Amino acid sequence: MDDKGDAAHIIAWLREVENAKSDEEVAAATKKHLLRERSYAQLSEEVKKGLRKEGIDVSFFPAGKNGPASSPK
Amino acid sequence: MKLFCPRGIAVALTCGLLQGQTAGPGMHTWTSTDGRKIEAAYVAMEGDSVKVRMANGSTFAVPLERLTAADQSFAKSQGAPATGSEPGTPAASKTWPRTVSLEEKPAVTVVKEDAETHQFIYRSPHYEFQCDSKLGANVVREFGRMFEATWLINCMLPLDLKPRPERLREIFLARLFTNGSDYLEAGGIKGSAGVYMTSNKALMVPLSSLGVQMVGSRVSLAESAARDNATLIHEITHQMMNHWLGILPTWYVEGSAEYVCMLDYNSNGRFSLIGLNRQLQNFTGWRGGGGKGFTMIDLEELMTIEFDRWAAGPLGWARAALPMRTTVPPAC
Repeated sequence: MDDKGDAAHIIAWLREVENAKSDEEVAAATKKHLLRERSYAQLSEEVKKGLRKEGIDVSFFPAGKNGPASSPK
Repeated sequence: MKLFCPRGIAVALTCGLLQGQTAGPGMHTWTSTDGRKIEAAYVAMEGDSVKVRMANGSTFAVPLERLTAADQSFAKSQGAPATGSEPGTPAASKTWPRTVSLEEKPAVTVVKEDAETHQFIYRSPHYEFQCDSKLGANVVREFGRMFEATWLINCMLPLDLKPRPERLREIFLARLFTNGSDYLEAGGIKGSAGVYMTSNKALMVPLSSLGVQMVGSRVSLAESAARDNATLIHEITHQMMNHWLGILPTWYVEGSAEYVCMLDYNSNGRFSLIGLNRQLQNFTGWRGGGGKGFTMIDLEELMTIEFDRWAAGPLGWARAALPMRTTVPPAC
């Protein structure tokens, strides 16, 4: 999720957010450093795959349809 | 059961994004004038010596004259604190640390012990503890390790968050309550091990969360519960990041606090970042109710959500997320 696993992208994102003057600048930094040409759907897939390698099985509620505090599998 | 756990996604995502290589914290190969080499991290300049930290956490001072000219220059170049850091704050590590630990128990001074007004104030290097019971410096020195160690790891992670006290404060403040009822009356959350309240610029903690028990005027100290420690480390991290709270998005603020409290913590004041996969599995099992799988809030919603909506929204995910902020062990 972060390329080389050295947190370089999120650190670069933090430095830009640290100096951002508006929400728009924060959003632009997120697009530039965290999304990196990926859609949220693509990032979700990468998160799922990455966590599966860690032995954790995750899924996402559809956008706008987040469920209750717990739901049957 | 497959559990919905936005708290889990916050930490899991953040961990996924943050998890890095596990080299020593800012390790540097130092070479002496007679050719011997050691791996150690720069800590500070001390007169004509440089203080360094070995991988096992021990520190010692090396006279500059015993180092090569190149290492003397390196040491002097490290002397200036990072921009925006408080004096005495260790620079963030360039690489992901394997462990972060205190060198020794923190020094604690008694600022005030007034039985008439029930004001008892103690200070460790970065925290002032205000209590309504007499604790004594030795007791504060014991539980103070968790506060100081959490400060240290927040300084040293390569994220370079530069912890500093809130505006108009010279030191972080923790208010400690002997009675749970007084904790609740002061704004604490029922069932919580502690809470950081930005409005008070203070961490509020019932003494029981620290393993402290008062029997009359006698103080006894037991090992605090691991879950209470995790909650407090989460809240201490929020306090360390107070100057970021209005800047960073909610998912990151909560996720980073979860990241730190997920780490193996030893009551001697040592965090371990070794075996992060195992630690993440254990942690999500705990936060997610014991299962290996859970369903998370839609990622775009998570990464754009406002804190008020996160905490107070009418949906199930908001109810599940509320404990994150209030430190109640999550029911999600």
